[in-house]
Amino acid sequence: MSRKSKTKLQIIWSMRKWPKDYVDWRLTTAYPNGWRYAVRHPITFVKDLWKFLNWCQMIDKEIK
Amino acid sequence: MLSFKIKDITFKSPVIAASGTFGYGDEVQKIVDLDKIGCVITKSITFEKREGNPHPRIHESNSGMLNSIGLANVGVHEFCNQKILKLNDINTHFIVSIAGSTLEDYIKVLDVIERSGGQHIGYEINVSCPNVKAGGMEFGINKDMVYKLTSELRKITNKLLFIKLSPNVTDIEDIALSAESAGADAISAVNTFLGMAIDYKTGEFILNTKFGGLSGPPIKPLALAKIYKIYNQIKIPIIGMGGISRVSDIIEFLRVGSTMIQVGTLSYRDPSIICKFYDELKSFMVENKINDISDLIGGCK
Repeated sequence: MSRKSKTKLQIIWSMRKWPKDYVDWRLTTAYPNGWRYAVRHPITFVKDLWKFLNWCQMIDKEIK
Repeated sequence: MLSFKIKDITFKSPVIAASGTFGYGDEVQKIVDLDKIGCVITKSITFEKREGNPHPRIHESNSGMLNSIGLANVGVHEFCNQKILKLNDINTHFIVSIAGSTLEDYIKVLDVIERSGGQHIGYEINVSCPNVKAGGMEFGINKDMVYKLTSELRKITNKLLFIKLSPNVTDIEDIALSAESAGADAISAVNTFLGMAIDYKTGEFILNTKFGGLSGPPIKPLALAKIYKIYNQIKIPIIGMGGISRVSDIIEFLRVGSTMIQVGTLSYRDPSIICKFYDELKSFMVENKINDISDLIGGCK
């Protein structure tokens, strides 16, 4: 599988296609109250998102 | 040439979307060409709705993922009232993953889903979740309990019955044999490996529950070994999984004895990646003059 490593911005941009109910499911998977938790804990959410983006870049190198 | 049959069900691709990484299955149909996926396995369903474990419950480790989600799901009644109707319309087969704390839990959930009017082709019985206090892996590490659970569920459904095994045991092949002799149609192997992460500066556990299940590319060699051990003991198909991230990994899993494979953690990176395997697998077969995907199964020497 050939896949170019993306920047964090490019990864976020590619997520724009994700349907709302899929995003909702992802948040429910990450947090006990889903999007409500993310809204109530914005700093935690941003930190988790940053970690996820780092992980995406690591995985992209793995599958390149 | 990529299609395969288990009992009377034909799968158009050997690549399956693993439970827990692909939503309930219906959410992704706008961004994933489900026609290129053999089957979707839903998030594990329990009798009651579950919020799962407290945050933090996901930790992205080196190229892998440690999770302790704790079977968060909508519960069987909401699943049957809302999700299953949408799943009936998706463009591939779907299998319902079931989890529970007791034998009765599993039976109740399966019984409700059997009467729901769903077009699902079968069930994957999750006896291997390492992230719940009761049930889950407790079933999966005991061959007598796996036998009892499988035989009880076999009595109430004629649909496909896959048993998803834990790798966190000494002799996984003994547990697979129990499931086979109790009437399972296939073995899904393997679920996540028990793991842990620590903040080296503070000494604190990173996951709220201390332990979690490790998945992703780091577990691939461990998963291959477990599948090879199972393949040499049982006759029913094996649905292999554990760190698949490229088409060469799929071939390796087929060669150690898997009939089909599941992609999990990689879908968490991007759910649409899984479709690309269909085309790449086809190209591999053409380039290597392989007519039938089943020619690859068990072909390691």
